[in-house]
Amino acid sequence: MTGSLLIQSLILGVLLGGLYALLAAGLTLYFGVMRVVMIAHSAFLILAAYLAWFASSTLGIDPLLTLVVTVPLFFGIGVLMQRLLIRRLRPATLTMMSVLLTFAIALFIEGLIGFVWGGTQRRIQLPYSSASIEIFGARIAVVKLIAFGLAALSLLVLYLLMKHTRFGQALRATIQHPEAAQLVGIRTDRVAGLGFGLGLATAALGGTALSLDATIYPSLHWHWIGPLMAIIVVGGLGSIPGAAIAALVLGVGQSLLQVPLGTTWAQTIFYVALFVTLMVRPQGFFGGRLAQRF
Amino acid sequence: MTESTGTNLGTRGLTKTFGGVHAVDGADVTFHDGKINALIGPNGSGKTTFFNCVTGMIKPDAGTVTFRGRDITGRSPHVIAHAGIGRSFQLCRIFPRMTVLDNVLVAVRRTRIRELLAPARTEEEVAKARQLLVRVGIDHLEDTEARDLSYGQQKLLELAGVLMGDPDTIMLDEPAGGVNPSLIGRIGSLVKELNAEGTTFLIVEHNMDLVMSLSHHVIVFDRGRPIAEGTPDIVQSDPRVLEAYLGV
Amino acid sequence: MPNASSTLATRSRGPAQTPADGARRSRRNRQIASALALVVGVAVVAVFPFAAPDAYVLSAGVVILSYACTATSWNFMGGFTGYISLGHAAYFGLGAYGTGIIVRDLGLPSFLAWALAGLAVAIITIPVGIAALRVRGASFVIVSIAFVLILLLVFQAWGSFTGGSSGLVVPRPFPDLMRPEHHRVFFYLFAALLAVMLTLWWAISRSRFGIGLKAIREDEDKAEALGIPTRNYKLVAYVVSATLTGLAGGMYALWFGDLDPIFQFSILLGSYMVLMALLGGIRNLFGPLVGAVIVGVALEIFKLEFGDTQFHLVATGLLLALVVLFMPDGIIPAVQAGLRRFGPQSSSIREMTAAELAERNAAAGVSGDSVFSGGPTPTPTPEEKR
Repeated sequence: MTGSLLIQSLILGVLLGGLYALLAAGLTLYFGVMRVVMIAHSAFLILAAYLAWFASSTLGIDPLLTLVVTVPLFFGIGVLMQRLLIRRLRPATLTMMSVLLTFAIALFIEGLIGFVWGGTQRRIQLPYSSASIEIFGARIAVVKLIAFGLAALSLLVLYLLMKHTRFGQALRATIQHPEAAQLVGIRTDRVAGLGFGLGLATAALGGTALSLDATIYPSLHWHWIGPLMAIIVVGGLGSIPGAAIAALVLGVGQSLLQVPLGTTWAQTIFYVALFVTLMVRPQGFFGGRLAQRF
Repeated sequence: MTESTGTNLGTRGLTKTFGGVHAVDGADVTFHDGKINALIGPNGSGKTTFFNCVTGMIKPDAGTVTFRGRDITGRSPHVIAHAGIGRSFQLCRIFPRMTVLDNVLVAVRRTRIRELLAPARTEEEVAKARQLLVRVGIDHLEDTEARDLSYGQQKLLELAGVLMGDPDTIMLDEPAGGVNPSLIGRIGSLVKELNAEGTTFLIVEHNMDLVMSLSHHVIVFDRGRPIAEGTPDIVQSDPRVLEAYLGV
Repeated sequence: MPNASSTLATRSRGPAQTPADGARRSRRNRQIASALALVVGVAVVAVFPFAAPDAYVLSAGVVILSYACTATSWNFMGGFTGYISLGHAAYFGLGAYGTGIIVRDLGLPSFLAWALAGLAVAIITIPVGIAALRVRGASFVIVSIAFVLILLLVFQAWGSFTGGSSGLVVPRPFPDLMRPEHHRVFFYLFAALLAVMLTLWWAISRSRFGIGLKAIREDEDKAEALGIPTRNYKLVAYVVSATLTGLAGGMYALWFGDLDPIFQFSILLGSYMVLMALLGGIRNLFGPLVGAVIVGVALEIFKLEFGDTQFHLVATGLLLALVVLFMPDGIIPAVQAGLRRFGPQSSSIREMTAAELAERNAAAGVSGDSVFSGGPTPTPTPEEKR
């Protein structure tokens, strides 16, 4: 592997890791507030990408502008989903049944996308699609940088929201100890609804970022949910920083392995990491006590 | 002092830390064979964590647990159960969607591999389970799903399940918690009966009346270790116990 | 199902035991109903291959039976222990590819290859099960999905061994048979496999092993504290479940003759298993079978009506969501409850126990400790209560 190729792989890995981190943060939010593993997360991701593609190809709008619609829309869908569906499940079987329910939603969305837009592969053509810049002798596509910028910015906003607002405080309290949060007067079910909305908003952001640079098709979401779930288990279920670190590490790992092994085998790094984590440290590498029970 | 008897269950330097807090802090405890031993202490004194370390639900960070001279530190709960220790849970736990009879039949002795596919309801074991249900007084409900029982009946069912495993030693975590006074009386007399038949008891309990009327040997826990022990009378008049409870 | 001892004991306790009588009667009714359903079911299976109007309907019948096999084998894990695996398609695919590859590379007879593939699945499942069962609930589901995705990747990428995306052709075991005959033979083979699975499920459900597994489903910590080696029990159930799924997959490979990673290692296939079992009722021996017939027929109709569109995904998703939200116990228990409500005599089993319960509570308040005298005490009759 030449030096510039190595640097290129590293940079691409970080860029990919940023997107993984944003999406894994969303998954962690659902898990934190409701103990729900949201299988449909990546289906919404692909849905957002399709909406961006649709707006761009039929209306000629820049895909980034669709965020104005998709982010609030997805936020609303997330809140409604928690209020109308997830909350109906019995607490005793919530975790298992919510997996099935969100799985059903994922199938539904995949089918809907295929029904409306067909099963063929789609790709956005932008004036700057083929533009690239050179960093240390490595050529990096501009769209990848934009996608990373969007993901990083969203993560930063999410971080500030969690750390410095009353809502973020309530959210963190609910994640850490729902009963105690309730005792100090936090309306945890409302917080959970908003947490769900926030999680789904990350899918809207991620999907738009993805659409800039990826070929999309209805069943693509399965290729995302696997790595994302591996990331949150490796990071420790319920820990957003853990998820972010695991996302970056695994993203870079995948990118580096792509050169000698090819794209398909490189993806197995996520599953290898998942199985190693379960054998060595089932509670995850960066997670707190939350992870042990789930 | 309690008359000297053999050690049933003992811990040496048992320690368990949760995020820097010593829930159990180098506890040396000895429970006596054939007696009703009680473990009391203020809330948060580490009784339940101690209990869970002994029964294998939590792996202790340091220290040893011995049962009748055998080291059982950190063994799986089912190994400890087969060694002869039965336990109840703080908030009573039963199998809600199994019938009362099946709830009791779960706790059979160690099953050999070739017995795995043998019918669960053998004549002998069903008879034994029924006898236990009669003993705790819920035999008429054997075909009912356990979730349809009242809380008190569920506590009795849990006890019957523990007895099915023929334990030499029974650990009860707050047997009187959330139960009406008449049922407390029933549980108390059942404990006495079983003890008279040779079963050793270790009881974690908040209800002082029950502890003082029932137990032969009381151990007082505070901040993760025993601070006093002896007969109920001695413990009751110990100033350290008052201090621990009242926080003077 | 009452065995000799329970009937005996009920008799010996005299006439005061009306609830036990009611329970016994309702059990007998249920037994008669089950036996009747079984006879009808066997008759339908026996006659179907000759009653089917054409080869298409016959092959749909084979597909539905293969669904019934997979859903029933899934239920060895899902139904007994409550661990919901969404990735059982992995074992279906391994069994199918294992059979195909052994026939292709070793030239062994088809059904010997099939059995060996089943053995291979069992061996592969052991380490996977050990890893997956270190966690509970959500993490277990994640691992199960991850395993199917990883196998999809591997079988697509490793073209030289698996045929990759261009697929693997499995030689037919009976090359001389015409198409309808081929379907007919496999219809009975799948039926026989299903019968074996149902018998095993039934045997486990009434065994010590089964009662331990059900206890794990209800409360794993409690089961462990009562002396059940939960980790080993779960692992055995998982390996049995995976192996049977693999055998169903191998049978499918011999029948269908053409394998593609996309279809064998498909998340959708795994979700069909869950949907079918859940729809029928995972606590019930015939639940997965009933679910498989309903979903299987529906899927065939969808295929006819809507062709190759993605509409069956939408329908599957909707149906799964509805079952999870409104009928998590499945159809069979719902129907049973309905029958119990409208049935003439068996109706009152629940009510009677509730009444008994209240009566007994009142009795206990008065008679105090007398029930603790040890040994079998007769239940207090109304006379004693006063």
